[in-house]
Amino acid sequence: MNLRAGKGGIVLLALLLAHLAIGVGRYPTRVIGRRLAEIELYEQKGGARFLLEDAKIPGAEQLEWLLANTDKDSVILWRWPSDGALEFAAALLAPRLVVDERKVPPGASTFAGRTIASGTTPSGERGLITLQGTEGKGLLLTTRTN
Amino acid sequence: MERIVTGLLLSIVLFWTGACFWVRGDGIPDWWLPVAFGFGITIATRVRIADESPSPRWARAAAWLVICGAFVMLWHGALSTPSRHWDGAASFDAKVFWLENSPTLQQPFFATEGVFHHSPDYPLLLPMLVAMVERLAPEFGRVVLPFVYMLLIGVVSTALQRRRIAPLLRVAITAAVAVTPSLLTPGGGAVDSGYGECILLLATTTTAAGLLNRHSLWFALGITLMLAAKPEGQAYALLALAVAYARSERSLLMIGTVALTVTAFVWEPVRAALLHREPSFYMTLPVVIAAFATLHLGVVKLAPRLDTGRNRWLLLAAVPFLGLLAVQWLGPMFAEGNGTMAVYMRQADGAFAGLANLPAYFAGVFEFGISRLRLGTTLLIPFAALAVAKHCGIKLHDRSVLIFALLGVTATAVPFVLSPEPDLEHHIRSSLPRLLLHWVGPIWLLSASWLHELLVAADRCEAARTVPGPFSPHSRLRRE
Repeated sequence: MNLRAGKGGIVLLALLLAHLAIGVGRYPTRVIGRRLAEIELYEQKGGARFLLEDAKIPGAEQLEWLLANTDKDSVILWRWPSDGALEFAAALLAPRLVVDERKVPPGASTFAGRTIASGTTPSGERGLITLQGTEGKGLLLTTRTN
Repeated sequence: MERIVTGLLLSIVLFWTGACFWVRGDGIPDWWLPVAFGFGITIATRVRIADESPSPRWARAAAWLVICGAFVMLWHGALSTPSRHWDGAASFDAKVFWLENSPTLQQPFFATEGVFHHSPDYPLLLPMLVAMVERLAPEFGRVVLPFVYMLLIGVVSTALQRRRIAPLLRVAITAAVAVTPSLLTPGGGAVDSGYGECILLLATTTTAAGLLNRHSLWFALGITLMLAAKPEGQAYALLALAVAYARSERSLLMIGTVALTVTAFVWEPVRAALLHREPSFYMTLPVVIAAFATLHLGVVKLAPRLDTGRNRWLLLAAVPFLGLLAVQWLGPMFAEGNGTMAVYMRQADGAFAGLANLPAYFAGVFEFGISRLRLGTTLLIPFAALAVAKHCGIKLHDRSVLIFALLGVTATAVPFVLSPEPDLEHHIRSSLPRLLLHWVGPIWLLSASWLHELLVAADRCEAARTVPGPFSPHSRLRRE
């Protein structure tokens, strides 16, 4: 930029340099530091806890329980409302399929050729494992008794 | 450089076109990705390119340092973990997982109604690219994300080269796009977040570059990519065609219309399958409108009495108002189902009442576009350049990119006028920064072009040995 071009030119040059300075100035802290910290935290906590705690919504325990206690090829039922933690369920629980319980007919034990996960939840309920969304965007582990 | 960039853009579009066909059937064959890229690069070797003008070595080295530093961090961020932010983790990762296992929609995750599938009608370009790379190079699929960023930088640099922007300015503007904080800072919308924002930004930038250089191939590729990247790309593609129409860019309008039509017919069957319904009228609307615009341009050309610039400018000025009327009228037709557009169209009845959300929207634009520096000074430079030019009496050109960027930024208000969220503040906070990010590329191309014009005026002024520069109110250029 031509510095002899008057005040206007200097303002434009300053804005362009300011943009470059803002961008490059963030490299050490936000671009590198924050990214490395984020990756470390993700590796420590695991996907469910990292994502839900970051979003300040409850439900990580329920997802971790499902990951530990259901077959990978199973179907997990879910029940409305779906906003919040349930939105992460499909990706975090894969290769399990997360299926709207209203689409599963009463008495069914399989869906799309897969077994619907069943058992006893930590609270002692017995039946088809169902992930229930809550009004607070969290999750509740419950069951469906066909 | 231009051949590589054109080849890569072409390859992505070729890959997407074939993939949309195969993904509905037995699956995308693994060989298709390398073959599509082979075709794209081969075709690009036959494209005529502009002469390259060298830039100062120190500036190039500095820019490469900055860009490579960002690329290394984005590479690390993309490959170290799955997506670490909301939409990437909730929507993108699940699609990639299932497509990587089996690149077809003929599997329960996509084909069975009732399976939880976040944002089912989102275009599958990015998930398909990542999944297919993952199949070829396990654990490396997500390198697509930083490479989209590099391609974006390549598009900017090549477009400015073709425009013959002063070498130092070209390097500075390329670096400016590369360091835009929203792209690099971890969070929703960042390059490695798994969100579709960067690839949509690549698409809008390619389209703007097509307008800037009257480059038909890039314009068409940009339009296709916009539709293939994200749902809002449909609206952006229409805006690009409206600009081509308003500026009487006949060849751009024609090829853009063809690109839109082909893309719509390639994508709609996939979209319909994802939504578990038959292909519908929905995607043909843009096609009808584009065809109408083409026809109208022909009429305007045939009937010179109608062909007054004022007509077209008035039409453009009336676009937001006409748009709201059209939304109220057409909205209910698209309000059914679980598609992204349907969620907004269910609010169409209250479109005019939604204007009450505009003050909050403008405050959001100021906060996320300017004061928080997430976009750096991106939004300020065109205004400053305009003010300087007006002050000095210099007429700036490149209205096409200006109108495209203006319409695009205006369009970012629509989701908030039709906001389905009860919490408007949250909606603005979570969506507006990403919507503004889509226009960073076009705005920088515009800024580059204008700054270059001001520089040229300054040089002319100096050559004429006038004491004050053209930026001074006393410049001779003003009187000229």
